[in-house]
Amino acid sequence: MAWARSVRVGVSLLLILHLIAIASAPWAMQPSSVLAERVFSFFQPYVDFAFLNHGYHFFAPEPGPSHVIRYELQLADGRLVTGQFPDAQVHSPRLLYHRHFMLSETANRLAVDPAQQPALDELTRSFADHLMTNYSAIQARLYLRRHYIPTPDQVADGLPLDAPELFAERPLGTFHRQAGDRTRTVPPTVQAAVGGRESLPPAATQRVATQAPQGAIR
Amino acid sequence: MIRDWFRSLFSATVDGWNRFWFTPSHPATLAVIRIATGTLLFYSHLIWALNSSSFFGSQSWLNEPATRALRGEGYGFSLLTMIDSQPAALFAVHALALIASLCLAVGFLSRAAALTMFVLTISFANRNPGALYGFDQIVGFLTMYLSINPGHRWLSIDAWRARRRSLRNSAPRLSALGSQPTVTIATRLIQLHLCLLYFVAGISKLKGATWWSGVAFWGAIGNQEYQTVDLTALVHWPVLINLATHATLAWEISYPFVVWNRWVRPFVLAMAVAVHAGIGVCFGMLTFGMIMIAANVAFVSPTLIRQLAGQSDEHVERANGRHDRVSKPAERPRSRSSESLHPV
Repeated sequence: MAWARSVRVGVSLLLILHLIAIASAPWAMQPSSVLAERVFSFFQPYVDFAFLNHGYHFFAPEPGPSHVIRYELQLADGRLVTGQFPDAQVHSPRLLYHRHFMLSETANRLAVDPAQQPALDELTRSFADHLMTNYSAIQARLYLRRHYIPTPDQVADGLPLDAPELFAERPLGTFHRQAGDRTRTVPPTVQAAVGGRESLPPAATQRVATQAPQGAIR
Repeated sequence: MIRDWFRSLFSATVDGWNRFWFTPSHPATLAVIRIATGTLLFYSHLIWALNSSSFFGSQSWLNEPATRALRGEGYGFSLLTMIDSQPAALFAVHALALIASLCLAVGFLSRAAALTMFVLTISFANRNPGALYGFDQIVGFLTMYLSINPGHRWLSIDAWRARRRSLRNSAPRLSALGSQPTVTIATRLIQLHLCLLYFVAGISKLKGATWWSGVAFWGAIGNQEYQTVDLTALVHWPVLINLATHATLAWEISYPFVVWNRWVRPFVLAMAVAVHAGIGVCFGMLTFGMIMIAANVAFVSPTLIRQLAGQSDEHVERANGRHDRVSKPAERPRSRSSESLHPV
């Protein structure tokens, strides 16, 4: 049954508004115009509420290095537990691995933007909290580990994808906890913890690191 | 003369708009998308449920302050934040998500299931914004559009129940066959959303040097954290890497312009299957690859889907028509309305 004209007009208006709204989200991604930002700010309540606020910049502007979080946990009895996330050996099936992978990539997204430092602080503290609770640890050290992609020529020359020189680390912080305490960050005595061919952005030195990781690469 | 031209333009635009959005369509296309979306959501929520404490508990990877910091000042909401990580309530939400996604897949109380999954998809995403990826974005808009019409009048328990009811009541229930304007609207929204997604994904890559130099594809092959199939042997065939890079970019940017053409569409969709299956199998994102292929089904004609399922219009009418004595001419041309989803 065909719809009445008034219904079609009303639905058409809603459709037009919806289409402008979903287009405004990627349009307003930086760098963007004042016009794009104004249009987006008008529609933001709707696109946020309906989970439509996406940029769709898949593998753009280009595929970059990937990131994992490496951790060292000190247990109450003095033992040291090390690990990383994501870890394909631990996080299976693949969807679970990918969820953990996105956590570490989110940490990197915040780490490269100085304006996001408070959010990165909360995130790393939350990671540390989770790990220390799971392992009943009293201290956690977290590192953001970047895995560079070798060039085709390097691989053609025999360089493996997991070669040590393809990794670089940035300390994210050292966190302590005693029974009943909320996790707290150790006062900042800074040491760059660098492995591989280069260090991560200089903002790393503003963060907490009590010592360079032993055998940080691999 | 100029006024006549504008009048004709306006009239043609209105006619085209009405035909594009409001011509009733058969729900076969939406039904396939519904089944795929429900199945993948069930799997996704099963993984969430089995790891609930790690992702949604009070000591999860992202606790409440971290979640707030990540979400910023937006207008998103989450039922999971409201229940404050209480184990019993969390269990109930996981159970609801599993049941609703299953209902969506099998087409039982389909519209309610789609709406429930839309709300839950938003809720889970906003509770754990650090663990999301493309899959969540796609199921977000698919469940939204399936809430308008979940294609529940084909290949569903709802359709089966409606048919039984109509047989019992001997009532004319041709509407059970499901050609409705809301089917067209939901399908069109998925189509246009895909066009936007691919176009933005394509033009955003134009800022990257490796997409111009033809080695961007290597960035996926050489990324060990993504890799599930070792394709590094391709390093000895750099032209193939260039070809894959340029073809992907050209396909993404051209998608919204050429997918509407009936002659080119099969090639565009074949490329979509190849790209997304490749991403799924080789780069470890099978769920993302599958949901993207499912979304691309929006461009497959319902007539073709019914033919593939072994149904013709006559077959369906015969199967349902013993009591469907209604044959109003206005309601009959289903094959035309099916094709109307692909007007070019």
